[in-house]
Amino acid sequence: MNDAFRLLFDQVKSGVVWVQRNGNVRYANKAAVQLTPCMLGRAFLDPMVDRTIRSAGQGLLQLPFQFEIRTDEIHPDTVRAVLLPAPVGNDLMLVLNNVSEERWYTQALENLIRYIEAEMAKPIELLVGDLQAMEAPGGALHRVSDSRLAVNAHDLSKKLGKLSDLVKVFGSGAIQRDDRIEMAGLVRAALKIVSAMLLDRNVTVTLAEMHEEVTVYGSPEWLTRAVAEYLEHVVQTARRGSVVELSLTGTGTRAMLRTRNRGLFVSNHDRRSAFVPFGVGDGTGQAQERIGMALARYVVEQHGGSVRIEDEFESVDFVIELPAGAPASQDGQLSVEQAQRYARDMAQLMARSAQRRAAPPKTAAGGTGPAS
Amino acid sequence: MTHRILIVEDQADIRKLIRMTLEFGDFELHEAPDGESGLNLARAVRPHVMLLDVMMPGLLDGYQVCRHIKQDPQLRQIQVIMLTARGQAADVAAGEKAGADAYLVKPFSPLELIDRVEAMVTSAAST
Repeated sequence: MNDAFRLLFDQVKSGVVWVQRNGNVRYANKAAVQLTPCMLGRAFLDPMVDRTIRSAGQGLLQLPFQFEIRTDEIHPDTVRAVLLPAPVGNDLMLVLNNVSEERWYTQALENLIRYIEAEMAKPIELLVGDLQAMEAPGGALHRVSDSRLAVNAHDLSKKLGKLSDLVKVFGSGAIQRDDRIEMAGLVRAALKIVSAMLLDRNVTVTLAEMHEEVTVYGSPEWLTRAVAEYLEHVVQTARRGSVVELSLTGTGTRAMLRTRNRGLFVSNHDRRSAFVPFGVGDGTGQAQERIGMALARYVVEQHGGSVRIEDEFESVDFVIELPAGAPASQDGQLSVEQAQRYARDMAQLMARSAQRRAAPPKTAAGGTGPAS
Repeated sequence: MTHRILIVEDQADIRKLIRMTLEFGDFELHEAPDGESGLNLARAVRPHVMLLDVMMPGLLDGYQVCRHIKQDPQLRQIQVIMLTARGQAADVAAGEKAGADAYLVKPFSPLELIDRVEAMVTSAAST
């Protein structure tokens, strides 16, 4: 397989495996390896996949041939596999897509969002208001300082607030601010938000690199929230007492926030479900933990960026990537308005220019360049 | 004497309109589409006046370019006019903090632009 194909397949989200007709794997991209175990030069470990490929290789199946496999995990996902002829040569290609995630997104989440919008937005708002009134000097909270009701209400408010925020960012155009944001300050603010959790889990964050000048444009409130949720997820997944390296760098047109957790292992299931709110097949006790990273991802995506998990041999990196500086957009309306101003002034500009040409030349003032 | 003007603006249409406006004056015009190349061009060309858009993609926006210019002893004499679509007090204050010499809110009057530029190069020549 040539390098151009390899480069192309490494960029796609679907799993892509290039196989010989005898079932031996010639190439598998990263997404494929995460969905089903396979090794170069060997047959597929999943006997069902191996059998299907061999049958196709012997001409017993009509291509493209679609079938489903299950991931080999405690909470298995369904993967849709399509076997088709390779673009060149006599080999075959297997394209894999996790349909559990797709189904989840298209059904469960949409239902939940509609439910929250209709049923929960108002009670959350009222609850937040009541709590603020109770906390005010002379409020009920001061008289009953250890009120279990208040503590529970706070907890509930926080959880429901997260759900509500998720709904808000799901709506297109929810984030339309273009404020200038210095990322170093924003990261420090987000670290302050998760400081209690850091203490609780005895996790230390060390600043490996911090480019103070990195600037992005967007909503400071939402981006702070996104980075805090992202850090919360990083802290939650870190072992107690561990050290997480954090770096903020700017390269080219991208700003990159990276946390490196040495010695951490993230299973394929966790990797896939990290960005799915409420998880897939997780217990209810963990549901709240799963909202944060999804919220972070939606906010960051609305800023033109991405959130991802990268793993090396000895570490796992959680990465937020954002476009540095203002979004590259051609504001057509502004160009039109500016052109109209130009047209309005053009007659005067031309008259002035003609006058100058007609006037005798002035004696040069003899100035020099500012920094020559 | 022909004065050098550097236009740093990411929107090609606006850049072209500024060029067309300044072509009515006697200027040597240079252009850059982003902050980083604008700063490099400023070092190479040493313009008398720099027209600098605030919101640009990339690692250096207008405020940062202006700060670099004003902190560099070799470049700080360059007169910087910030161009922006946002003219709120906080934006103007941010421009002043970065060391900008003037602030024009888009859509700006081409007459005002050329008058400002001419006034700046005249005052630079007389000092």
